[in-house]
Amino acid sequence: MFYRIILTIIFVFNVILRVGWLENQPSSMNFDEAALGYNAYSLLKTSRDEYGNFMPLSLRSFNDFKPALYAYLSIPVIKILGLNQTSTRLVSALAGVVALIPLFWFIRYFVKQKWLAIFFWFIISLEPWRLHYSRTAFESNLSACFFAWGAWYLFESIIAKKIPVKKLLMSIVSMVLAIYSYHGARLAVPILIFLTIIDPIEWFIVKRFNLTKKIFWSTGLTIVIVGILSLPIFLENGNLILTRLKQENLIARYSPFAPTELIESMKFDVARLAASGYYFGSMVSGRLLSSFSPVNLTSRIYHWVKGSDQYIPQFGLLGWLEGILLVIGIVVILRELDYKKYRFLVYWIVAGSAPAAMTWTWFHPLRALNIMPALEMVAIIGSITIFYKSIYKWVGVFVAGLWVLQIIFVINNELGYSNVEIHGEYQPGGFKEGIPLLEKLQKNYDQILIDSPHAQSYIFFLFYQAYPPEEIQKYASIRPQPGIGGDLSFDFDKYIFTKYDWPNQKDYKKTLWWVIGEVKESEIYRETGTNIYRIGNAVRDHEATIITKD
Amino acid sequence: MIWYVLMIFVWISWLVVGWKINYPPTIEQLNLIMINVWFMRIVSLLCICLSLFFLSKVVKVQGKWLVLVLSISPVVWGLWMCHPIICLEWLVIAFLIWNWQKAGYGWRWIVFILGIVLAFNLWQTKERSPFFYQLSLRDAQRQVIERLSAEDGLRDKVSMPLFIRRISYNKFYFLFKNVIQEVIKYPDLETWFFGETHPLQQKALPLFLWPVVFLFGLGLIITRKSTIEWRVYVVFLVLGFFHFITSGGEIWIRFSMTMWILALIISEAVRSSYKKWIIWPVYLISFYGLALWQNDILKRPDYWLDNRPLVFQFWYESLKNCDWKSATKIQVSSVVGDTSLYCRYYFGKSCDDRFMFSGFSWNEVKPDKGYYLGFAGEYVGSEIKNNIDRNWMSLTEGAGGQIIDKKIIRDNIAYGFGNEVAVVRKY
Repeated sequence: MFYRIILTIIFVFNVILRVGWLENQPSSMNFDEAALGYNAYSLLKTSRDEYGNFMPLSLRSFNDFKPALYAYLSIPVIKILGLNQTSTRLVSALAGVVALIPLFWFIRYFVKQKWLAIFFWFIISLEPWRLHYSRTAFESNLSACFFAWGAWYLFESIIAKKIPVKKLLMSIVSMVLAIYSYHGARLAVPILIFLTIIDPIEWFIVKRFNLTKKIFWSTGLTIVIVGILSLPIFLENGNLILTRLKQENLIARYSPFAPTELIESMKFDVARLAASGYYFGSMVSGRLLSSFSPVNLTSRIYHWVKGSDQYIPQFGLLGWLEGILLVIGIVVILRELDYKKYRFLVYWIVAGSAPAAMTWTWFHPLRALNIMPALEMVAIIGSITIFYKSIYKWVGVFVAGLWVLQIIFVINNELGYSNVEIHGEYQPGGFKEGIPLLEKLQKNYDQILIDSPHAQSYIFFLFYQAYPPEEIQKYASIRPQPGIGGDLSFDFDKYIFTKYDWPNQKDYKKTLWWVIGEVKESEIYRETGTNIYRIGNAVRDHEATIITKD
Repeated sequence: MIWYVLMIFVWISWLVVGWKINYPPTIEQLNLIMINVWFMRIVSLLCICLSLFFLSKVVKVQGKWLVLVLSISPVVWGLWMCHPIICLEWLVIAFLIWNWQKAGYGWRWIVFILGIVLAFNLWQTKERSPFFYQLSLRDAQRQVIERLSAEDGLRDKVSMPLFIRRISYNKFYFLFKNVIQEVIKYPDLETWFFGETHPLQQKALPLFLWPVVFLFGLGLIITRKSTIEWRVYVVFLVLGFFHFITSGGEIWIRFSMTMWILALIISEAVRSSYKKWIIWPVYLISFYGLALWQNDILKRPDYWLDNRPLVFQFWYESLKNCDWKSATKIQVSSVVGDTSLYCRYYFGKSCDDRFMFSGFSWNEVKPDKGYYLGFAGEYVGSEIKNNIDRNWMSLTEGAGGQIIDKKIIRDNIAYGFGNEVAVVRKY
C-alpha cells in the first residue's frame, strides 16, 4: 500500500511539474509551437489546416509537412481552454507524463529491488530532457511517448516464451501512432522491428541464426501491418512528404563530403569517388554515434542548438551524473550481450539513432528523443553496477544524494532560469505581450506594417489573436510553394511584412507599424498624430515597438 | 609477417609525410634545446618507440597489435613531430607501468605514477588545465549570485521559494556542478574517433581514424574474454583521465594518454578478429583512411597543425632572403606570441639587439627605417571584425613600405589583424 502511495505521489509531482505554469514558462512560443496550435485551431473550426487542406495527415505549415497527430490531439484541449500557450503545450505535457508508465515498467524489469526501482523512476522521470521537452509543444515528444510504449510491448513480446498477440498488437498501434506523430519514427520503427527479429548480435556472438518460424511470421507480420497503416501518410502528398527529407538531408548539404583541396588534387574520378565515399562514411557513422555520445548528451551544446527551443541551459539532454553512469552502463551492456534484454536496448538505440544519421546536423536533440528511454536504462544499469559492486555502500548513498540535489537544480533550472537563456531567435518575445494591444488598436488603421527578423513571424499574429482560419485559408494560393526556403511570411488582410523605413514611410496615413527593437522616437514624434507603444518580453523591458499614425 | 610489413609501411609513410611537410619547430621544442629540429624529432621518435615497446611488454599477447593501432594514429605522429616532452612522458610512464606490473600491481606505484604525470603536465605547458579553473569557490559564489539575479530580473517567471532554490543554488553545489561538467567532457567520441569530420571543426589531430571506432565497439564486447589483467585496464583508464583533467592546451594533447586505453581495447578486437574476413573491410578502410589523411595533411598542414610556427617560419625565412644584415632595426610582431626563440633558431648569434619583438601599428606610430614582420592589420590599422582593407598592400606601399613577401594564413590566429602576414621594408 505504502509503495503505491509513493508511486502516486511521484506521478502527481511529475504531472504538476509538467502541466503547471505552461502559460509563462517558457514565456513565449516558438514558431513551430504556434503553427501546431494554430493548425489545431483551424482544424477545430473548419476541419481544414491553415492552407485549407481537408483533414490532412501532414500539416503543410512552413512547407515542412509536420505530422498532424499532435494537432488533432490538441483539438479537444483547445476547444475547452481556447487557443493559448497552455492548450497548445498540454498534449506534449501529458505525453511526457504518459511516457513515464513504460519507463517504470522497464525500470522495474531491470531493477529487481522495488524500492530501488522507485528511486530510479523518480530520478529519471525528472531528467532535464523529460521536463524541458514536455513543457514545449514538440511532436517529437509525443512520438517519443508512443515509441516508448511500442518498445515496451515489443520487448515484452520478445522476452516472453510464447508470443503474446495482444501485446504485439499494442506494440503495432503504439508504433504506428509514433509514426503519425514525428518524421523520425518513420525510419526508426521498421529498423527496430527488423533488428529485433533478425537479432544480428546474437548471430554474431553465438554464431547461430536463431530465427524461428514463429518469430519470423509474427514480427514479419508486424512490419507489414505497420507499413500498411503508415502508408496513408506517404500516399496523401506523394513526393511533397519527402520535402522535409530534402531540406534536412546530409547529401545535399555536404556533397562531395571530402575536403575540396584534397579532392581537387586527385587526378582520377575513381580516387575522388573513393575519397568522397570515405568521408561520407565518416559523416554517417559519426552522426549515428553522436546520438549516444555521452558528451553530447550531457554537456556539449552545439551552436545550432543554443538559442533554439531545444536548448536546455547547463545540460545536454541527460543530467551530469547520468553521463558518467551511461559510460559504465554502455561497457556493462556490451559485455553482457548474451542476454536478449540487453541486445534489445542496443537495437533500440541503433534504430532510434538511424534517422539522425542521414541529416545534416551532427547531433540534434529532437531526433534523439526516441532513444532516450533506452539510454536512461543504460545509465540505470551503470548505476546498479555501482550500487552493487562498490565495496563501500556509502558510495551508492552518496551518488543518490547528489542525484536528488541534481533534480532540485533541474527543476529550478527549467522553471526558474531557462527563460533567461532561451529568448533567442526561435523563442521570440514581444509577440505574446504586444499582440493583445495590437488587437485593440488595429481596427482604427488601414494597414499594419510588420518588420520582424524572426522567420515565419506571421504565425504569431495568427496564433495570439486566434485569427479566423477560414480567412487565412483564402490566401493559400499566393503563399510560397514547397521547396522554397527563407522567410515564408506573406501579406494578408491589413498585414504587410516589409522593412521599417521611417523617412520614406512617415507620410503614410492610418498606419500601424510593428518593429522589433529600438526606433528613433524623436523622429517619430516630429510627425503629428503619431503614438509609440513599447513592448517588453520576459527578459527585456523593450523588445518591440508599436507605432501608430492617424 | 603481415605485422612487420604493415609496421614498416606505416612508419616509413609517416617519416615521409613528416619530411615533406618539414613543419617548423614548436615553442616546446625550442624551449628544450636550440638545435636542429630533426635531431629533436629523432629523439622523440625513439622515446615513442621505446614507450611502445614497454607498453607491448605490459599487455603481452595484444602487444604487437597495440603497437600497430597506436602507430597508425595521427596523434602519435604529431607527438614526435611537435611535442618532445609528451614523448618523454610516454616513455617514462610506460616504463613505470611495466615496472608496476613486474612489482605485482601495487597501488602505491599508481600514486607515484600519477604524480609523474602531473609533473610532466605542469612542465609541458604553461596553460592551466580548464579543470583547475573550476576549483574556485569564489567563482562558484559569483555564478550563484549571477544566476539568482538573472532569475529575479525576469519579468515573466515562476517564483520558486528561495529556500528551495538555495538547496542547489549555493557555492558548494555550483563548485560540484562546475567540476562534474568538466569531468563529463572526457568521454568524447567525436574527438576520439571523428577528428576528420568533427562537427565543430576543432583544430586537432584525429586520435584515431573513424573506421577504427567499429573495432573499438567490437573490442568493448570482447574485453570480457580478455587475457589482460583487469588492473591494467583500470590503470590505463585512470592515466588517460588524469592526464586529460590535469593538462591544458590543445585538445588532442589532453587526450594523448587516453589513447593507451582506447588502443588497448581496439587491439583486443584486432587480435581476435584479424583472421575473420568479415572484419577485413574495416581494416582496408582504415588503411585507406590513413593514406587519405596523410595526403590531406600534405595538402593542408596549416589546417591540422598550429599555424603560429608556420607564420614564424615564413617571417624569418623570408627575412633571410633579404639584405637584412644592413638593417638597423628589425621589428617582429608579438601579436601571436614572442618569437625571440625562433629568431635565435633561424639566425643564431646574428639575432642581436637590432631585433625587436613587439607589436606595431604604422597608423599610430610612424615607423623608422628597417624591416617589419607582422600582420596586415599592423601596417594599415587593426579592425575589430577582422575586415582589413583589401588594399592594405597599396596602402602599406603608400606609407613608404616595400612588401618583400606576403602569405595568406588559413585561420584567424590574430583576430582583428587580418589573415595575411608580410615582411615589409620601410625606407
